[in-house]
Amino acid sequence: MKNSLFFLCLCLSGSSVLCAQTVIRLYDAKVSGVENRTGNSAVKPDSLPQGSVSYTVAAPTLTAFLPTTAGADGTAVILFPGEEERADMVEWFIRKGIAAFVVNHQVGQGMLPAGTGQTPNLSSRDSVNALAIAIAAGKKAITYLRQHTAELGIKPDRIGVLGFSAGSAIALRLAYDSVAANRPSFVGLVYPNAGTLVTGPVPADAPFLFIVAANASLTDASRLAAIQSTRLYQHWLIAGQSAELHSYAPDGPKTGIPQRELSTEVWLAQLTNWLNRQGYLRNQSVSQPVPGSVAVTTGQPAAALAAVPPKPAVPAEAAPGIPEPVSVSKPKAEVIIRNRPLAVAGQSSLPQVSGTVRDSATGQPLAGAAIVIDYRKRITGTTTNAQGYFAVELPIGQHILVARLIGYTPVRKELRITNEPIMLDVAMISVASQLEEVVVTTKGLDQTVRQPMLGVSQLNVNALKKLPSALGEVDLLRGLQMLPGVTSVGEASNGVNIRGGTTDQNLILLDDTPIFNPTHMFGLFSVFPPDVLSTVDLYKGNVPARFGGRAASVLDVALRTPNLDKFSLSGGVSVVSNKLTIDIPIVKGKFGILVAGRGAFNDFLLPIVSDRLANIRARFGDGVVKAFWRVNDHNTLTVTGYASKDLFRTDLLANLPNVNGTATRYDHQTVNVMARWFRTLSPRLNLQTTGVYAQYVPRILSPELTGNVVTLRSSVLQRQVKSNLNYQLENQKLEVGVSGTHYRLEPGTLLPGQSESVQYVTTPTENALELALHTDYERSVGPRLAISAGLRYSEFLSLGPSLVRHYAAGETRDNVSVMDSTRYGAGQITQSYGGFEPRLGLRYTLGPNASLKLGYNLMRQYLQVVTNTTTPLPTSRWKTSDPNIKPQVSQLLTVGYFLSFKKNIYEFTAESYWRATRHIIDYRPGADFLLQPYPETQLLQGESRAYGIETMISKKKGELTGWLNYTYARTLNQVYEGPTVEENVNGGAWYRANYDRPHTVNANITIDVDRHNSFGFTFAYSTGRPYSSPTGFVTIDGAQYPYYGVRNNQRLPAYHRMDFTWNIYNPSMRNRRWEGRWALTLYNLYGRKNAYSVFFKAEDGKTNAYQLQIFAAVIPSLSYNFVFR
Amino acid sequence: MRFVLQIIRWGVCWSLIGVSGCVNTYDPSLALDANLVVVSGIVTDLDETQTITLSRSRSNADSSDITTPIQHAAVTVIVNGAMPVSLLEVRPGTYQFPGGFRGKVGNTYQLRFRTAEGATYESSVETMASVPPILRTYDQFNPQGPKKTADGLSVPANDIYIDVQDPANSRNFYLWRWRLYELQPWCVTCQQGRYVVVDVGPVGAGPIDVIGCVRDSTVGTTNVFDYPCRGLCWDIFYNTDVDVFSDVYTNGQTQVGHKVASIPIYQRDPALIVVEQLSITPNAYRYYTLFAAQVQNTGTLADSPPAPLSGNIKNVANATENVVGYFSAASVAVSRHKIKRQDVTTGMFQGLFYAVNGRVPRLESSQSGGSPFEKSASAAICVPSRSRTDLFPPGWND
Repeated sequence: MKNSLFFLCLCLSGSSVLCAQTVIRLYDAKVSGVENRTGNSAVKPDSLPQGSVSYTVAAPTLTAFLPTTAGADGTAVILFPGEEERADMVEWFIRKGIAAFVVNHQVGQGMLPAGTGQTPNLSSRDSVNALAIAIAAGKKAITYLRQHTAELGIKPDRIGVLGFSAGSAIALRLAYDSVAANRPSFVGLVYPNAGTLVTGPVPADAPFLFIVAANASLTDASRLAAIQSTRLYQHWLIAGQSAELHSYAPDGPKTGIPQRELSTEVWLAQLTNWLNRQGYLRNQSVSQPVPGSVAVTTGQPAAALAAVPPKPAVPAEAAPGIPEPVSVSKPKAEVIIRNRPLAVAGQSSLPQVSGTVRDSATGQPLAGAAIVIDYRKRITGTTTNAQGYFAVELPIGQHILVARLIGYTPVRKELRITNEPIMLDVAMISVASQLEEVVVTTKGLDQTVRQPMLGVSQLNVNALKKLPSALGEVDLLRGLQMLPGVTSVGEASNGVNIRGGTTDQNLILLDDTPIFNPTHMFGLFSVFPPDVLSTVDLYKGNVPARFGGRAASVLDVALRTPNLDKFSLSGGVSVVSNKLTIDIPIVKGKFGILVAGRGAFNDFLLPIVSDRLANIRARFGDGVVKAFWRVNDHNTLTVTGYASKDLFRTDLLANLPNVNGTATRYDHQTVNVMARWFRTLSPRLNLQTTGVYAQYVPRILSPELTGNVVTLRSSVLQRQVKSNLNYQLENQKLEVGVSGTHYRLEPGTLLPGQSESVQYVTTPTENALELALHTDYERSVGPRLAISAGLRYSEFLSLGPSLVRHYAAGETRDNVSVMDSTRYGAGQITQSYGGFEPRLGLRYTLGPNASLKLGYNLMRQYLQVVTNTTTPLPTSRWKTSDPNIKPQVSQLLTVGYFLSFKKNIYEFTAESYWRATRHIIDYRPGADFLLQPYPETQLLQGESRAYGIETMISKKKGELTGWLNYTYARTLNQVYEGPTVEENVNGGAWYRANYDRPHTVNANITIDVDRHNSFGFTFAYSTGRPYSSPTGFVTIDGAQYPYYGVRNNQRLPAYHRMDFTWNIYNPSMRNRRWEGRWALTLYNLYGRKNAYSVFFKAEDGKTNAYQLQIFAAVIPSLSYNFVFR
Repeated sequence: MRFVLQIIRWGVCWSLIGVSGCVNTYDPSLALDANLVVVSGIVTDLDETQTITLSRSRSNADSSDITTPIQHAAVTVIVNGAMPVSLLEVRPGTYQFPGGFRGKVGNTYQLRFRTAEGATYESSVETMASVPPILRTYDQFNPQGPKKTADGLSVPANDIYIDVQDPANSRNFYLWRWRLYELQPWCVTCQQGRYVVVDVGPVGAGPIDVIGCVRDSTVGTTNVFDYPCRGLCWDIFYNTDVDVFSDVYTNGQTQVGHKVASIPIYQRDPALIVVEQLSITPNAYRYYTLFAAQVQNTGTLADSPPAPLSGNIKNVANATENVVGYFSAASVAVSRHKIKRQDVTTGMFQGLFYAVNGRVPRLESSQSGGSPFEKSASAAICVPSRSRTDLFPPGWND
């Protein structure tokens, strides 16, 4: 059945003309483009000679009516009937010795102008496909006839096509879109429908053209068709090709006789005449022109034009007549392939790929789109015509077809060409209408007028998910580190360093609640649940005055609101963790709950991998519950609860000193709750009141030999109430707010459990209050200048009960230099600090696409981590400012230049900053904060300065998005409280901070190949961080030990890494309610052994140097995520 | 499942969560520039001759560590602030207390010395504190013992624990040190030579005259012969790690299970460990803690940045000169423990010789052909030294 079906039927007709009627099925199965039509639907018994074999429309066939062998003159005409063609036409041809072949097709209904209401069962897709199917069928018919000339008694150079009304569109397309093998010798168009005639460039070897039109019949449509016919005729003439036009004027208005009925005989005579003159009829003489019509021949075109009534012409392009395509408003380019089996045996011409290219949003056909085959290796590329139509012939095999057009995202499709033609409709996405696809956008240019701020970046969470991620865990902090100005000390760092700030100088807010430890598993993963993130804003330059309490930056992470309308479920599985998110609308449109959880319990696999891993524990989990209640139009209430828990044990962290434990386990947990009441007072005025509760409890557990577990517990508790009033005007915005924060810190309590060895030891609880007032004001001053001015006043009160030591001035603070001490009762103020924190941002527009910005910030920090390790441990001690420890004060000055070009597709930013911080915290050699009631004896305070230039260029839209940035940044500290080594660092000279990495280059590329595939690459390079290497070695009792004279005198080898990810979306392409995504990630693609640290160890009397790597090999991982709606 | 396991196996550096694999040796570029006076000496109340060593360690671009003894210094220890005791240089840089000198609990000691160049150094005044006895020393077999090097594999070990009763009413700081006696059946290795003794006679019963390794050019330059010991012989190993403890969380409590050593098991023979428990001062404790943090407890995910080691000895004329080492006075409690190694259940042990030399011993008789010498010994003498003894260590037979 694969081959052609060819059955001969006897003509049972009683008609006077004997004929050999043959039905050739062009395809042996139902055409896949036909969805809603059923067979036999379009049989019109009176449209063909009686007794002819009826045919089904759903599978195109070719019905042959052959003249007697004696009378045949070798000419064949393929007829594309319209709605009501008469059988007498076929008879007419046979009488003239012309073999007639009727192609049934489905174009008719779909080709009618919209609004005729004749398409009850027809999908729009059917109509679009019908034309292409019919064209393909026509080509196949011509090819077929050329191959079977002997059997059919015809000549290969005498095969023409004739289209009636809707069928004329097919006939004309065959003139345009054919190759030698399937090009008709002549083309006749009879009463073409308005809007179906293309007027593209006429092919050089165009066939002879014969047009019959009725120029002013009963309807405007036919008049329009006549106008378009003359235009087509002109095109043919301009191209120097042979053409003939007969455009009939209306009969007298009162005849009442249908015009076409009248003229059939007439135009058939003209057609015969023309065929004869072209030499297609061997034995016929030239007929006389018929009165009443204007016969236009090539010699006298002016007459035809003069006959056209002076009605406004509608160009054919404006009425394509093809209904809206399928993939409107789809987010991705959609390619539809219609792959149909072939029916005709002995096919020798190349299979064809044809289709229409359209705008994905508007459905407009796109003219001039380049169709490139196999990346130009093959020269058969083409461009689409005015209707967006293209056709190329390709040899059998695999091919890549790319459709390109300026302003659109290219669409790439892999084709497997077998013996069959392929229909391929392409929807291209306009780049300008695309959402920005980069992970990091600078909130700059688009919003310049409203936001004269700089150094504000926004992470696109969806794009973040396309980035390669270590072990398949989508990670916010790692994404952040692709930004200029954000670094860390390495892969296991417990936080990030922003513009020269320490990790604790970043205010990290998750739905307004502070996060004291942003990572799981010691820096490997961040604590933010990736599936429920909404917006992520990083303020590293201008910080609005509503934020305060940290010296360097603000990371404001908002979780998405529950879906109030639809239940949805999403989740995922990766090597590390499993996660699930559920949206439950409880009262539709009013009240909904979002529950999300993530857990990493896969360490049970470790003993399977190796017995030696049996003792390892590394588990974490986090969860979110968020409820949103739309009380009424003016009030909403939001409550967020967040909890996270970590448990891990590793030999790579120090044991709890001075407790005889056999191992050390770390665990820490966070419980954060936020409630927010949002009230709209007027369209311009709203009030937002928020209450925050955040508790962070880290613990160190040390099991003794007896089995008893000794626990060191500490905690940070923050409670906060704040209220903001926002007032929005046309070009200005005002915000006023007040906030009060209470801190309660338990710096450490040793819980002996059942131990007989360890005692209960505790350190005094710290209480403090931070009060703040703030106002933010933004307005534009003239067309070029915009100002954002903020002012915050913060007052910090360190509260009793406490015992405050007073040390002798000018001496090292230690137990010896204590002069006396003061005991304060509960609630008594032991010390207060405070001051104004001005924030200023200026934006000056340099042109439509460029601006210059200036920013100044002052920020005060009253709560900090005191630790002397390279990166804070989860258990590191938080400390409020007190009479002996001054708050840190940081000033930042920033200048930035912003430029967007190519329709906001590209963006270039350059920012330069200078930052100075007073009272930074450093440590005396051998400092120990564990259970230390007087931490001031262990630390030193000094100065820090940081400066740098950050440049970034990004392509935000298109098939390929990404960015490249380069940062030059330095961070230097100076600590000098006295001349001895205990009182200064590096003798009081400026020294490099642990995270001082001068040169950083980050690059990211995401390629969205199609709806189902995207590829991502990231590359990161940065100078190695400083470390301290020995400046000498000493030998003590025969064993050699390193000696460190200077801090941070060396650098690690440069860090660089490339990652790759391949995201596969919804691979099954079915079941739209369930969307799956596979992500295959290769982290550290080329397996570089990046050093996390270099350390020296005295072993057996020798000092050996080692480097420690966290990810020392390429790490493949596979994860699966799904959404169910 | 298998795929996932492969990922896990290759993917993550298990050093992160417990197993080596992500630590590699590193060739650092060092900017060496140090010239340091190094002092080592603890005054104890042990019944033995006590010494203090003075040396100078220089490091520069050409050489990482040139240690020269500080000779001809005038070294004095002032007892109780009044009684100076002069020390005598017995070997270059090693200064010895007078023969009968013993430290005493409650006395204060201060080191003072003047180098031949005329620089004067002085330590802080250290008070010798009393030390409680070690209640019990015991061992436990640990199939996952310590690693010899940071990038090496762990070796099965005997973990040595002690129990001690911390005295109440006083702040106590402890330092432990130990030495280990292991039986060593192989006494001498000769490279391109043979071990020769002359039996003075009567043969087998009389004295022998040890000539030692005699060069034999008939064997290759890399050829080695190993000779077993004539009698019992013990190798002595000393701790190189610093082990300090403070009773800040445990004052007055019985401390159970403080691990003082983890002795790698190379052979199944019993061994003897002598544990010394020293009482040190708070400043000494602080010094040793910092010392340990930067020379041995490194390589964690969150190391403390190293800082210049500063002991309690200062150049009188130049407060900024840093002297390495801590002069302290400590009372010592000693405990001897026989490691019987009867609970060693798993592991293959190739012997102490293999562990030290990385090869199996090679007997002369394995080489064909006779010795050109008059008599070639089949067994060698155990020569006592700091690291070897032929005398039964006290406690061996307990």
